[in-house]
Amino acid sequence: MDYATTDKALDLPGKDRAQLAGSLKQQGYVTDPSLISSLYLLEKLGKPLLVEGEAGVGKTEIAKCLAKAQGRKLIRLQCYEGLDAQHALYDWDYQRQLLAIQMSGQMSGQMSGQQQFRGESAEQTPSTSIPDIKQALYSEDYLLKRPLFAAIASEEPVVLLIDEIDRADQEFEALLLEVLSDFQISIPELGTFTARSRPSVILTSNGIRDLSDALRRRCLYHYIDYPPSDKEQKIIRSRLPGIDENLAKQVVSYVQKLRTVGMRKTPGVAESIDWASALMAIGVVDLRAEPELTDSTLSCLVKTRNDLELLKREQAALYGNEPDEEPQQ
Amino acid sequence: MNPMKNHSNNIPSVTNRVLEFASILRSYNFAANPSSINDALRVAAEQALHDHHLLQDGFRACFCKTPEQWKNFDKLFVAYWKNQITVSEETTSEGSSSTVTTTPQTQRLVGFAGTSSDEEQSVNVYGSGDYSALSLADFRFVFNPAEKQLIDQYVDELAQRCRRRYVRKTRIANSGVRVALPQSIKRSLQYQGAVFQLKFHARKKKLPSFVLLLDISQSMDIYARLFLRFTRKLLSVFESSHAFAFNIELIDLGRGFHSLEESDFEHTINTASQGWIGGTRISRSFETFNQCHLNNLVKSHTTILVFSDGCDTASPNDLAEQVRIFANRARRVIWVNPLLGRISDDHPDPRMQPIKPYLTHYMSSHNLPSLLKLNKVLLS
Repeated sequence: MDYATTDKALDLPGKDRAQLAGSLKQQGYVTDPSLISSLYLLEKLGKPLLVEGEAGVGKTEIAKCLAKAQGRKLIRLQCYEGLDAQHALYDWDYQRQLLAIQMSGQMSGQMSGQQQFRGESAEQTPSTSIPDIKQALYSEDYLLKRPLFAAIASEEPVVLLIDEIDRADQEFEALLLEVLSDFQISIPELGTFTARSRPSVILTSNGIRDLSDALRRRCLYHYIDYPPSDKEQKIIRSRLPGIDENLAKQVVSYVQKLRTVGMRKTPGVAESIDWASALMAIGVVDLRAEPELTDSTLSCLVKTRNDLELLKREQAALYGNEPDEEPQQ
Repeated sequence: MNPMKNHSNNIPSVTNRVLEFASILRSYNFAANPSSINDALRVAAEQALHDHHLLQDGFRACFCKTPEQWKNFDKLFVAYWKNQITVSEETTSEGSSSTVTTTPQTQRLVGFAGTSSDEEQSVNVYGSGDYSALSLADFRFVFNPAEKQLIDQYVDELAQRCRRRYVRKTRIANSGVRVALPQSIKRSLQYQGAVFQLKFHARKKKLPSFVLLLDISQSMDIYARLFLRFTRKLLSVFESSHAFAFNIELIDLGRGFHSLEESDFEHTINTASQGWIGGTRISRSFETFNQCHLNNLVKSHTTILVFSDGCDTASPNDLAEQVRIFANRARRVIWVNPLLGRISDDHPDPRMQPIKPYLTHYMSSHNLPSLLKLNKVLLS
């Protein structure tokens, strides 16, 4: 089959794409065409999207904004070391099962007393037999739906965010393969559940651990780098609509320089927004005019002692030569 | 889906292009697996043909799997899917890496590879140097500038070897020929009749004449430059050779084209290039050749050398008819198809079947050994 000559080739996606971009913009997410393409393909091809990038560049926010933009429920699975199937897929509600067994025992005791009183045999009360109790205990009534199962079982399409997958163990990655390739979950007691409506799956990774090829192969891929200055200003203005134009420029310029000095924890866009928000809260409109107040808010950007010392050393260079200070002609 | 079926017309099939692009990405350690290729084809079907940027974004999402691949993808995409590039190599502090910069007037002429770094050679080609690895590589997989330069050198050497062979053959042919008795006796007079110096009849030097018809369409541009380089060197001894290029029409490169600079060729090729997906009109170009140049240029001792993949917008029978006309007049017709290296004998190219009966030789020139074979055929 030659795709160039199929009727599908005439199906221009420009409208859908523009619609998606518009919806995300309404949610305050500043996108670029490349990300719009990736999100469009996520929907169109029905494959998970693996988003990689440094911490704080807006990976998690993509899923949140996408869910809001599409009016879908967001189901989030935060990964961590030691995460297993019981916490990600499903678990049995043991407390309720125990209660049910006890209730069943009591009920059978009462019923057998009544039967003896009426002169009936024990075979005439099948609901209290052991196989029946077992079947009842391992039914959907006693199933706790964890995020992955909830996304698969949902009647309505949802956005499933598997956040910081690189923090989870390799065993968990292997567990994800079935879910991400076939969108189905196998439960030995109940059988295989296939997604009723395919969820939009977004995985994020900070690159702490290298992900397996098998997982990468099953996903579309998008990499988010630190944004350029103008885009970062747009993001800050979008998130903090009341911010002074000059302050936004100064904040971005400062943070952009900070990213080049080699800090251990490089501040991301999230830190820029936090800092700008803090500066607005204490009424700073010019960083150089009020250096003491500015310094008191640097904890929004700096997260380690070493970085703080580094910042003090580089302070002069960071404040100097703002890009908005263009020589007057 | 059979990629070869899509050559029924000369517009390069998108499927084929995607498959070729995937193979190139694979040589750069991208995980271009069938699933990614399938996704890319769907992307191409839905958004590709209308906007390069959409195609680029879509392919990037499908083929990239790591941040490094993400960063390198754009230059590979631009190099393959857009005509206008030049390649320059920069050395970074971490090692050598190639960067691609775009310029509007330069056409992409060489394919890709990038598998011959020293480390990879030592791992993949046991006991072999770059030469053996590169000499077997298809030219479309040679992209690294350093490797390109090396291939150029090999091609030059090959052509020069051929030239030396021709000169030696001529010298041997000229020696030991018939003695011109009158002149020999006349010369012996100064030695009182003793014959010290024989005079031989000079052989009439009859150089073979070549007419080169070169396809410079998009599907051939990977090989065109190298082939030009090779033939220019080779035919420098054959002064009566004449060259034409064709894409959608016939372009006269002139007599003795070997004296032209390579930049002149590239300029001609760039001028003739029409968009990133064009339609080659081989049959019409050959018709022009037959009408305007056949009587003047093609004699009974002329060898016509056609360099083309045969992907024509017209039917194969029309093309065969034009080939028949000049084949009847020429001494021999050699058709060089670089794509032949990719076609198995079990599944011959159906487009070439009507043309084959009129060809003296039908061969490939996708790598150095096949060029060597062509050398021998040309001088036979």
